[in-house]
Amino acid sequence: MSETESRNSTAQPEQRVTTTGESSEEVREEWTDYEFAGDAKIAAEDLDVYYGEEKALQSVSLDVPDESVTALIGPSGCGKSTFLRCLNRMNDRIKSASVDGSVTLDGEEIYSDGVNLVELRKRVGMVFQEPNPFPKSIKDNISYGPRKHGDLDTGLLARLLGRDDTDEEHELVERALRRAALWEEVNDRLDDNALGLSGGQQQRLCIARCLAVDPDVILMDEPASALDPIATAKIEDLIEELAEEYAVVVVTHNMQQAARISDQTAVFLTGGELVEYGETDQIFEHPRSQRVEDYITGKFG
Amino acid sequence: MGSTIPVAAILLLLGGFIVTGGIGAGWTWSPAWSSAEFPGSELVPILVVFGTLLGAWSAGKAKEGFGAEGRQAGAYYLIGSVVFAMLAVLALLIAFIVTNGLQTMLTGTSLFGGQFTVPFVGVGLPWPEFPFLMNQTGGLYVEIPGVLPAVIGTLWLVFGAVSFTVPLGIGAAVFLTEYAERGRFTQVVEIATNGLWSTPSIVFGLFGLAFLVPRISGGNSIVVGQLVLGFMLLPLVLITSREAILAVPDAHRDASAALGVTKWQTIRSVVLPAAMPGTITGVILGVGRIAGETAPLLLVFGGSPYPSNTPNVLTSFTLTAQPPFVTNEALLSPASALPYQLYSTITAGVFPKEIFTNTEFGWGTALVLLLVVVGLYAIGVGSRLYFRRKLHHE
Ligand SMILES: Nc1ncnc2c1ncn2[C@@H]1O[C@H](COP(=O)(O)OP(=O)(O)O)[C@@H](O)[C@H]1O
Ligand SMILES: [Mg+2]
Repeated sequence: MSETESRNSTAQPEQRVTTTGESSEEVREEWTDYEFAGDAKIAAEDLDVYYGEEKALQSVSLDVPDESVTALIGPSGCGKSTFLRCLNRMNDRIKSASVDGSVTLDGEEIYSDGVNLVELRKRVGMVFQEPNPFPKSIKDNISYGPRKHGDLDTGLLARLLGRDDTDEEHELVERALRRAALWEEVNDRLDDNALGLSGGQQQRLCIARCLAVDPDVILMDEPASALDPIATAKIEDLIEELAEEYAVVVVTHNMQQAARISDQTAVFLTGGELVEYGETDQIFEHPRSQRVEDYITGKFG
Repeated sequence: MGSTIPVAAILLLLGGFIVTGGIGAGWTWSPAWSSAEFPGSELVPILVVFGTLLGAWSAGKAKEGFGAEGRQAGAYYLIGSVVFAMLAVLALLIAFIVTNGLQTMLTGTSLFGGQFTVPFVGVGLPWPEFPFLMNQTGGLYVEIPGVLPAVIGTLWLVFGAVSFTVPLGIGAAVFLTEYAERGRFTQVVEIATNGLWSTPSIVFGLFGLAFLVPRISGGNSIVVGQLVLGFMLLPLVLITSREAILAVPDAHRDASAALGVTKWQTIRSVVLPAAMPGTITGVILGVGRIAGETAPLLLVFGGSPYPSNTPNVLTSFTLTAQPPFVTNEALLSPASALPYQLYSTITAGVFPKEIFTNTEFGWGTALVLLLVVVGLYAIGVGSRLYFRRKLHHE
């Protein structure tokens, strides 16, 4: 719902981008070349995405390093969410979407035929724009993933069969909640329904739920856009902390936020083009593309 | 203002006539233009009802000062009195059944007159005695005939129908909403289920009689009754659970998929629990309907009008060496259910026992039926509350 709303409400600036934004400027290859030490955790290569006839991504190539925060910025409707959804193949769930190109995770192609989506999504976790906890208890939200993957056996049947993991579950729940900086706030009400939490707490719960599956990569689509400033600050701190262990890819349309939390930034502009990708300081201080400079200095978008 | 003055005038006139005795129960209006007669005993209540509605409406308008506020208040009072009238009709109905049936139902009851023998110990304890509920209907030695066979029969019918319909209905709803492509096929199924739900019950009964009875039991039987009532219940369960599943937000499905959980596990652990209250609502409504259903039972289920034994379903299972391997004599025999009992009692000639007349026994049965249905509702509402609690923080 809000996805469509934001798309509609931003239809105007999007138009202005195409008219005033010097769309004649050619994207140069070297603007999107970003050199970093070590192998890419995720590498997208010539990624095209269509929704029906409409092309939403134009041949995007982007390498994401491990243990750092990669920010994707750009005006609404420029394909940031679309790109993010390619990385854990959530676009497969949208009927009209078709994806062309290649994405590798640790060097392995994820768009080849034999790929197990369940395994892929266990390794590439995702946090959505709207906090979406399940209507279950806080504890059950966290242990949901591990339980479904068979990493946890709890409940009456498990107890009867002598395979009860209740202690492991407690440990896992505590670890995930501590990791998401939520433990102190909820440790006395783990059995309460998660819908009783505030928006910011719900979003951190969703992050904890994602961490409980022990992924390698965490994708976040505007994780703080529905939250108030204090909750946003908490999420930002958390993202920076997570980058010590995970490759974090964050979509945001808030440039200050991208500048604050990210190590490298990719700028998408209208039409689904990746225009510039590089170290965050460089992008914000010396952008090489005129259009990116206009966008960052607020001339449009 | 304009509409309230004539109303007030009419009401004044009407009130005047009634108070001064101009029109009353004994008075009759025979208009010249027709041969019909309107006796006052019927005309006066009708006039009073209309007068009340008109009066409530204009009183509301007058109270709030005639403007938009007044119209609002007028509508409010009007709707209020209609709702009140509806509740009054309901209360009247229930009061009527209770006053007529209570005497019968309480015949021979005593709080400590009965005996309850503690199992294994063999000590008798004083126990409430409730012959109308606990006795057989017919039989030589029964002093106060009761409705126990019919109560048990009704419970078995409902239990049987619900226990095969709920899994089937939910399964079909899951298939239609989560797996099947929306299109011509799902549309046809939708129309067919809506049509099935509005099919008259006697048609289901006829189907049971012509198709199921010869194939399953060769005569009236509990199991065919369960099947027929289940078929009647199925469309409602399907419709309500489909709605409930569609109402589960996609965000839950996305969240689960992004955790690497398979579609089927997502449906089982996230979608269905969230859809449970809606499904239960459907089952409650349906059970209310099938528990009181009579017509199909006449065709496929009912046995002796005054049964002298209770269906013994639990202990009648026997294993056999050939298919179908498990048989149950009791399930394959006819029995009695409360609505069927009610129908056969009031249409039969003379009640075999001195103690009740047909009508007395019928009212007692009606009251018990009412209580059983209310009890089933209570179970349903209770379980819906339980699932709601689990889903929402309250
Ligand atoms: N599910 C969808 N079906 C059809 N078109 C879509 C869908 N999602 C996104 N799009 C289109 O793809 C383009 C990029 O959208 P999106 O990736 O959501 O942009 P962003 O996240 O940068 O705001 C937009 O033009 C949008 O209308
Ligand atoms: Mg988006």
